[in-house]
Amino acid sequence: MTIKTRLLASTLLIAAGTTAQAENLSVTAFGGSWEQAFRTCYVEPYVAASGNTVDVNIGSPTQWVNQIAANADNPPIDVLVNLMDTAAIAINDELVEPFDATKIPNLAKVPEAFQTPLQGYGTVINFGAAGLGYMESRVSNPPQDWTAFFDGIIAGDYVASLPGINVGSTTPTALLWNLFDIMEIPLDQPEEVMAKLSEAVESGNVIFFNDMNQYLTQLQSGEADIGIYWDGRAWTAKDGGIDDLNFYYPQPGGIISPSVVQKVANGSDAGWDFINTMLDAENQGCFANAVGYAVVNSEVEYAEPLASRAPSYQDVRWPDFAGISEQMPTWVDQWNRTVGR
Amino acid sequence: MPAILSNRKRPDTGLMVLRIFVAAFFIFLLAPILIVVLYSVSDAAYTVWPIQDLSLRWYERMIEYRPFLTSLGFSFKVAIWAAALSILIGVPAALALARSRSPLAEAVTTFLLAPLSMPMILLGVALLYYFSWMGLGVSQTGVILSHTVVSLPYIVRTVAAVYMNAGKGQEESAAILGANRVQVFVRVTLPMIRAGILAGGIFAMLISLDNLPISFFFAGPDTNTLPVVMLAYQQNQFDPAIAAISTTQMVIAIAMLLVVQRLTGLHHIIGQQR
Repeated sequence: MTIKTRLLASTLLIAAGTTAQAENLSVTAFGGSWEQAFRTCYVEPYVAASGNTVDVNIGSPTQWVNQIAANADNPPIDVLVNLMDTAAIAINDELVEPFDATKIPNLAKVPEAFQTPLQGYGTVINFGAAGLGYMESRVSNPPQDWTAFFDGIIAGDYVASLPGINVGSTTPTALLWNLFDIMEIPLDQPEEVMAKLSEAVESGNVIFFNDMNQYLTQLQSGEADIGIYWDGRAWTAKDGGIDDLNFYYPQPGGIISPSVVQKVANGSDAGWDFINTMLDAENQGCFANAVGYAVVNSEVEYAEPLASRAPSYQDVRWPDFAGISEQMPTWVDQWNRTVGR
Repeated sequence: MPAILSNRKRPDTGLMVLRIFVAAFFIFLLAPILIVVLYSVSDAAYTVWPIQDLSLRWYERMIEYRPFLTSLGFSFKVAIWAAALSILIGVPAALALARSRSPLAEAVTTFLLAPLSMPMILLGVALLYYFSWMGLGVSQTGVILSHTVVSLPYIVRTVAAVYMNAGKGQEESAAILGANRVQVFVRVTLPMIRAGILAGGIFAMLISLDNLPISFFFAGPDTNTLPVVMLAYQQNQFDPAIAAISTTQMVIAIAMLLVVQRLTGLHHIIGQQR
């Protein structure tokens, strides 16, 4: 063997060794049981298969997006689990990479509807839907459609708990877009919607919640009888001991509330494999049954009680996320002027 | 009956009103804390009132949910470092400013208190981008330095106040009697300002332990403080595990105060003379 050949062989060996070295991946997750299911169903299978290590960064999307933006060349996060509004910011600020289907084979099992809102820069991974939660002992005849719900507030049939403007990402869809949609008003003409909301508030039959758990306190204490809430949270609360609570989707349907995943630009390429692991049918099924939210892989089969509770993505209403993002500053301004709390 | 005796038996309405006011004041202060403690031993899966059954299940959950305890440990580490760095930087600054005759001294003192007047969330974003530009990014050093920025004013303020009240007489006497600068500082100045350092240090630690708006932007897998973990947990579920970890943190804080009381006496901190 010549010196040249030996050098080449050594270089190849070093290169092979480098490729085989374990990588450390940084991924984000929401806290509590969500994170525990995330670790069990996504992180553990990925670590077992790849030999890489994974740091799970629990917190909130605003925090993560700022951390990536502040360190765009060397981001502290490789895979970003996100919400729809901050996902739009990450796309607009070029903090995330476009999805490449060849790097994520399991993406083929995810219906287009879950990918389209992310414009090719991510996919929905799990979703819930907003509907109405109410106390059965106090509301014997809950409204069958959303229009009747708002009319019932103004008529004084019940006191309703609504998400306030400080409940990020969800108020714009579950409350505001919902009203635009049922009133058939273009998103850039908020006056009439705000007037309707203001009328409901002035009736004295509305209280707002600015924290997801405040809603449950309001219903239990009797401050409110019914209100807009999310399916997974409502069922968990009922199963957890709030027996009087019930939940349903009024016509024309619940409003989707998705969690999404994106690959951070300049982050580790191992992130693609992690996203693929997250979209695997078995792992998605594990996650869905642990947290009580529907997932996106079309091959997943849910166990009871999720099987009978999970909404179909075809039955829920999909807000115009891009339009909402564009109109949000105007809506907040109008909210502050008319609703004022 | 002599008039003086009948006067003694007359109920003192003012004193009664004062007692009722003080009792109401303490109830107002302590009730939220007591409710948190009560919720922490509730058996219910949600915060339901009144509490039906008692249980320690949420303390088990607190131990089982690893981020609670790791972030609690990290919070104390950050608090100790932030207080120590604040003392290191703040004490010399306070001493110099308290004795300075320069017209700039007041302006510098105000400048050192500036972090207190800024919205913390704004400071958090600004520090994240600034430290990232410096290459510190989301790191333990970044969290400690950012907490030092908000802890520093408490040290400067308390030490400067104690030092100004102490006057120059003792230091000058020591110098006249032959003590050099180091001896004056170690044997005269330091004992004089010890109460200020202790008080400022404890304030600095408490401010750090409680800080959310700044910690929020620096939180990562190795840099999560307890308030950030509690927020992330509460956004997704609201079982009384939050009450259990809050109670635990409270017990640790009380234990710290008891240790201080044992070692030096709390009268040093609150400025009372025995």
